[in-house]
Amino acid sequence: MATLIRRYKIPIVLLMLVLGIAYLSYYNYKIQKNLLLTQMHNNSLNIVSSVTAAINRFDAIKSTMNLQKLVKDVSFGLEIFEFRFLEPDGTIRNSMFQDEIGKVYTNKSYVRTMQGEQKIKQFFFEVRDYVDVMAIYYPIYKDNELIGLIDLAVDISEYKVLDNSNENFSVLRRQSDIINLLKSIEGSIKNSLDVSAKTDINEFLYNYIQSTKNILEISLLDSQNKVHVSSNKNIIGTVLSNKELPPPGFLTLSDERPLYRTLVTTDISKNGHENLKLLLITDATAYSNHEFQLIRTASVTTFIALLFALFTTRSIYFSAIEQSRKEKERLEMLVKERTRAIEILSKTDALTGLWNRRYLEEMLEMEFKRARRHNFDISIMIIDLDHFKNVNDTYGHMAGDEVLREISSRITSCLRETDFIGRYGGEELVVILPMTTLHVAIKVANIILETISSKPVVFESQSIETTASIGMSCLRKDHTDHLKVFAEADEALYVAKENGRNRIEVYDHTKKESEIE
Amino acid sequence: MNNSKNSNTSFFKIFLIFISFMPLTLVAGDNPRVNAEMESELHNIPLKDALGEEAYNDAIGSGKYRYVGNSKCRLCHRKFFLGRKKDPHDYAMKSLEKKGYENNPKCLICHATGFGTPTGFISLEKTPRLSNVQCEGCHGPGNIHIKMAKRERDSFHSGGFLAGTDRPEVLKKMCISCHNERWDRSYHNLDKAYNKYKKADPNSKRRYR
Repeated sequence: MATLIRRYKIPIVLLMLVLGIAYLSYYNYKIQKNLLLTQMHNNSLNIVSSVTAAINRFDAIKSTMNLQKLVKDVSFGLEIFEFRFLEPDGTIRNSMFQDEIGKVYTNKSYVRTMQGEQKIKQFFFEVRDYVDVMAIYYPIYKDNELIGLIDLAVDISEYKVLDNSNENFSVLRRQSDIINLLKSIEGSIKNSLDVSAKTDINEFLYNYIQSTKNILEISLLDSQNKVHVSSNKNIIGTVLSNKELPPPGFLTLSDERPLYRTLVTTDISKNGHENLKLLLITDATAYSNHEFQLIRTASVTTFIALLFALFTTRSIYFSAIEQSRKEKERLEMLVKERTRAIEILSKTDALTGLWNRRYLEEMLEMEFKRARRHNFDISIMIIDLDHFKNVNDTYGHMAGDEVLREISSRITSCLRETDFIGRYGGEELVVILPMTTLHVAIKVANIILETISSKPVVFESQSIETTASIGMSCLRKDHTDHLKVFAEADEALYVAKENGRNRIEVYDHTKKESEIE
Repeated sequence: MNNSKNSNTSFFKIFLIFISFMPLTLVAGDNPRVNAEMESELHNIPLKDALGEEAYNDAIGSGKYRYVGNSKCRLCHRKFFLGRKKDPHDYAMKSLEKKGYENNPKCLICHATGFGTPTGFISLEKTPRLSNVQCEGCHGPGNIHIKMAKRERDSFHSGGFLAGTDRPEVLKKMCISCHNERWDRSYHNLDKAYNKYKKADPNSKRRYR
């Protein structure tokens, strides 16, 4: 198990990372979703409270629906001092002064007017709030029934200052303007009363829904879940089953449209039923869209993390393989180089750098066979330094080695590329000249001798005069063995030594044969 | 026809005032302070005194501020309207009229609302609604205050004035500007008087809430 873990360490870590990211995105999704739900629920509760207030104030709204606007419209370049709409019993339905709406009007002139002591629909002058005003109580009739009074007062203090008289021309001229204004107000009030009489609460709720975007239905239910008031006229009077009444704040899908239902107990009383429940159905499309987006974001994040992990694993794997391949190549190269070095070491002489005796013999055998087969010439020369023992004795072995090295390099410089030169042993050097006739070989040998003796070898400021003897032989048809050719050259060398050194001797096979005979 | 009527009315008015305030004028006699005021240079506009010349020019020059008259204030501050109707400030013009100074700029600068500013009091004939020292006489033009009150409705508390109650140091300077060394007989302690005028009816013992 432990080895398994060690082996797949990186994939395991990456998998953990992916799992971590996946969990985090899921967690994020959940939190956001809850947040959205809470938000939607709070929104619904806000709507419920405003709807509740609207329903509670419905009757009040009905009565003052258009009057509020009228007060604002009242201008005509007149300085309106007071404006009220009074009910016949004196209740102030609407006024410039917000705080007195709903109270009973107790002005003395009003009381007098209602008692018949003062003429209605006629201008009169009085002082209100220490200001001289011209006022009028303008009755509004509907079907010959008094439904209300307009109390309108105009500030005339400025005229009074200028004229000190109520019967001022400009004041009187204003009266016709005011009457015109009052007539138009009367029309508006009648109109608005007509409109509000026709409007019932269901219609009001329906209009309320129409004016908003995402509210689908508002209904008022009693304790038996019977619908009393609803924006949807089809369900008024029906009893909703428990299926249609999920617990508060429940999200359902119906008719391809996600709905959010809120069921709240309110303080609304209607038709004798107290504390009706308010059922609010809102469109939750925005919420579900958001939720879908959240899910998508979470899954995309996870998927990207997974891809990233896979890609990382793959690249790590491939880079590891590449690295091991390179290491292998490097090792192979190293082995090859070493092998070649060892090979060369086994074939060459350590002191002079020439081929050693073993390789030389191999090559001689091979060249012999090749010459035999193709009918080539081949010449061999054996070079032996004269009195090399004396050099060693006189100048020491180090000097001897230096002489050998120097002479070897001098000989090598005289040879062609195809010639082989090897150290056969001690001070004896062997040169194989393939595809070379004896005639040519003698020329080469002469050059070699000249080069050796041309200048002395210098070792530690001592010059050592060196000469060499060369014995030569070449391949002939009667030779059956390469060793025989070699032996012949050796013999020629011996002859050269006998004959006084620093010279070239060629094996004389005729003489030899005659000697044998 | 209008001209003759106006001259008639003004004559009649002066005559009436003269008659009605006869006892007072007899008591007052030739007031040395009035004479001193007449001989001195034209008083600064109180708002300019309180705000400083630069701030005043910025505010009034911007054209945003406009005097509206106290009947607009009455719509919300009805108690103050009623209370101030009993206050001497509301009779400032009358006290000028009784001596025939109602067209003298040296007097009007303190006895009318916003005299000397582009939208303030000009004359009794042209701007009767800005006569006397009204709410705006001390607080400065009120149109911005009304605008803010309309927009913010119930949440509105204060603001919009050049010398509102949120800037008592400016408001006190407004008092001092007119009630200077020559005309400070009305009070001896500014802070006490200032606190007194926080009430709707400063002359009553009862405190309005």
